[in-house]
Formats: sequence, structure tokens, C-alpha cells
Amino acid sequence: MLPQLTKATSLTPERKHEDEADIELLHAVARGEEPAFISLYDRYSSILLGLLLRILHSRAESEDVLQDVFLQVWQQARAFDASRGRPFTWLVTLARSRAIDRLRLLDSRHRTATRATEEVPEIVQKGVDDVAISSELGELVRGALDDLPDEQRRTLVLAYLEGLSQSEIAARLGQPLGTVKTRTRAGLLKLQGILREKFKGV
Amino acid sequence: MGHEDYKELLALEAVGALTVEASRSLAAHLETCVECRAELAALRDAAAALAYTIAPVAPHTELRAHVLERVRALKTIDSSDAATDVMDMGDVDAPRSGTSKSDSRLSSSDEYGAWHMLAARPPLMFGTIAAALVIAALTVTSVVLWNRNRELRGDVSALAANADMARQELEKDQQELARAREVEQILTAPDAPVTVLAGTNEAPQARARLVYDKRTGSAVFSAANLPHAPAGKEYQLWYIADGKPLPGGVFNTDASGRAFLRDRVPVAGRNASIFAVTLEPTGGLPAPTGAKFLLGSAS
Repeated sequence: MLPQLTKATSLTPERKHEDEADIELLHAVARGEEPAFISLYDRYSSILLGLLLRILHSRAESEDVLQDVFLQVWQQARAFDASRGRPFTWLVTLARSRAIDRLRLLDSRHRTATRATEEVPEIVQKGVDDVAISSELGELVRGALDDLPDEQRRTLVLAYLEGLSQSEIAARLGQPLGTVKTRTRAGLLKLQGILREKFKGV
Repeated sequence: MGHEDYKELLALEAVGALTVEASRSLAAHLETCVECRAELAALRDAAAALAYTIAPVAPHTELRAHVLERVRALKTIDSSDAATDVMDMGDVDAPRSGTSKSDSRLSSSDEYGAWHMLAARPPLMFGTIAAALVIAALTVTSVVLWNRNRELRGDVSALAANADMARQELEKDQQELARAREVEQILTAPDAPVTVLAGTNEAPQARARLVYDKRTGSAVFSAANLPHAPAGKEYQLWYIADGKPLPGGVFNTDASGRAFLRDRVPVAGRNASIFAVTLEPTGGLPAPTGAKFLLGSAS
């Protein structure tokens, strides 16, 4: 009944196939099918927890938010619309916005105190191999990111993966707000172009 | 603002960097602009791909069961919702505070659809009798399918229960393994002398061994040939430092007279020179009152 789930590998046809499998899973979750929900959890909980940790810097908070995220997946799977993006994008967007909500909830002073002093973390980290998302795909996107000019990459990573607002980025990098906006925008457009090239035909 | 201005905002919206007002204004434009909607979708996919660059981190195993539990709790709320929905068909498409459509509700509206179609169809050549037969056949079929559905559902939940049990067993094994590792660590710690305790006149055959890591206080204690304590009583271990007994863990032996205890030696007791086991009321006491059964001194 459920689509055959292969271990996620990287490139074009597989990725497309996976998206289709994920779409079917989300539809099944929308119908209240628990096994589909479990499959989604097993496929994506690790990568989403990695993202939450990156934004929240706390394992306890991140695991708490992860639960909320999957509850929301269960409740809102019906709202998923494949014409508005990939299932992966939907999940990441959901996780990211819950994490940012949580961040706002947590003591903001504490956050600026601990985060403002941090170096921009290294993007390239050793991946875990036994999770659904292959490191091959990670390598590919990292490669694309590496092709961006330094300052574009930094603003993009700070905005999307660290959950900083544009003015926080401006403060952190000592740049005018306008410049930050321009760089974020240019960075994403460039990244999109490179990924499109790499995933040609998707 | 015109289409081109909004187009400029799409990338910032995709990374969640627009202010609330700008985002709201863009949303209004998106309602009417197919091109911008498609462009935003593509940009969001590109932004989300950034998440692939992060090292995944596996959540604790218990989290999965927790999430499932919470989802099942929601399901229960849902099915009670569904019962009221069936009675109130006019409200089928009303928004439902984010809960998912339940199965029973879906099937009831599907059935409703089938009946409705049937009713709308003009009687065929055999007239009402034929229609009645068709309806009867459909009813039988739907009952059969409904039963089959229920059976399958039962199978699925049985499978899920099995998986849960297997997971619990795995977790138990992992806990035991962790304990075994801890014991091994104590036994192999550099500063963890072994003390042998011998039975007193109360239990001349009894023997015990105590090992603890002087730095951490983690202790393992094992006893043999010690009679099973009577009802209402338990054995208690004492660490006697400078003549003062400090309370340790309580235990009882099994039918074969053996016991194994993991304990933590209080800081003040880590230089204890004498160790004793007495028989005390269940749960132990802060100071010894009962007869000594085992006694040993640090070598």
C-alpha cells in the first residue's frame, strides 16, 4: 500500500522518486494513517533535529520542538500542497518556524549574550551515515554553497540555518541592513541557479 | 507596489527574512500572481536544501513513542469529533481547529455520496425491484468491506503493538548493558579495592564482596549464602568511618541466598574501614538497629 521507500540517495531521478514517495506519505498521513506517519518520522526526524539544534543550541529544547513539529505534521498534512514546493521543503519550513517561535520565547537577552560572541560556525560537519538523507546530497548542496561568494554564503546561512533576523545579521557582521538584504537575496538566487544546474531536469 | 517590486521580495520571504508587514503585503500579491507563487516555491526549495548541509542528529529513541502517544491522543479526540459530525452533515467542510479528518467520517460521507448517486439515478428497466436489489447488494458489499477494513485495522494496531514491545525490550536490554558497563567500570577502576565480608554467628556460611570506586563512590556489592530476610525486614549495608556507621543500600537475597546491589557510597563513607550488613525494617534506617549478619574490614 505504501510506496516502497528506498534509502535516500542523491541525484535526479531518485530525488524525484523520493519526492513522490513523500507526497504519498503526506497524503496517507492526512487520511490518518499511522504507519505513514511513522515512516515520515523515521525518514526525517534526524535531519530536522539537526536543523533545530543548529537554531536552538539546546538538545532539550530541540527535542521538545521536534515533537511539536511532528504533531503539526499529523494535524496539518492535509494543508500540504505539492504545487507549493517539495515535501522536504514543507517539513523544513515547519520545523524552522517552530524553532524561531521557540527562540523568541526563550530569554532573548540570554540568546544575544551567548550567540553574539559566537563565531559563525563551520557549515561542513561530518554527517551521520545511517540516516535516511545521504551525505551525498549534503555534499552536493555544500558544494553549491561553497561556490557562493563568502559574504553571500555567510548571510544566507545566518538567516536560514541560524534563524537570525536581518537586523541581527547586520549587527553581527557590522554591515548596513540594506547590504545584508541584497546579499541574502543574491545568495539565494545564486544558490538556486547552481542547484538547478546540478539537479538538472528536476 | 507593483509586480516587479514584489518579485524583489521573494528571496527574502523564502528565507523568512521579511518583516511581518512586508510579508503580509506580499501574501496579498501572491493571491493573484501565479508567476510569483511559482517563483517563491522554487526559492523555498532552494533555501530548504540548505538543511541537507547540516549533520543529522538522531533523536532519543523514547521520543518516537512519545510523539506516537500524543498523536494517538489526538486521534481519540478526533473520533469523538467525528461522531458529532455524522449527525451534523451540513457542517462537513467547516474548518476544524487543525485536527485531521478522521476515517470514520470519511467513510460515512463516501457512503452518503454513493447513496446520493444511487438515488439520483432514474430507475432502470426493472424498476424499483432492480434498484432495491442493487441497494441490497451494495449494502452487503459495504458491510463486508467494512468488516475487512476493521480486521485490517486490528492487524495494523497489533503490528504496531508488537513493534512497541520490541522497542521496549531493546531499550531494556540497552539499559542493562549500560548497567553492566558501569559495573565493569567500577571493577576496573584504578582505586577500587575489594573488601571481603564474612558471615557472623547469625549466618556463619554467608560471604560477600564489596568493590567501590573511591573517586566516584560507585559501588557493587554481592552476597551469597545469606538467608532470605523475613517479611517486613531487609538487609542494609553500612559504611563505618571513624566508628560512625553511614547508611548504605538495602537489599534482600533470592531463594538461593544470593543478592546483588548497586550502591553509591556517601562522600563521608569513602574512607570507611569497616563494612557491615544488618537486618533492618524494610526500606532501611539512618542508623543500624538490628543484628549484624556480615562484617568486613578494608585491607
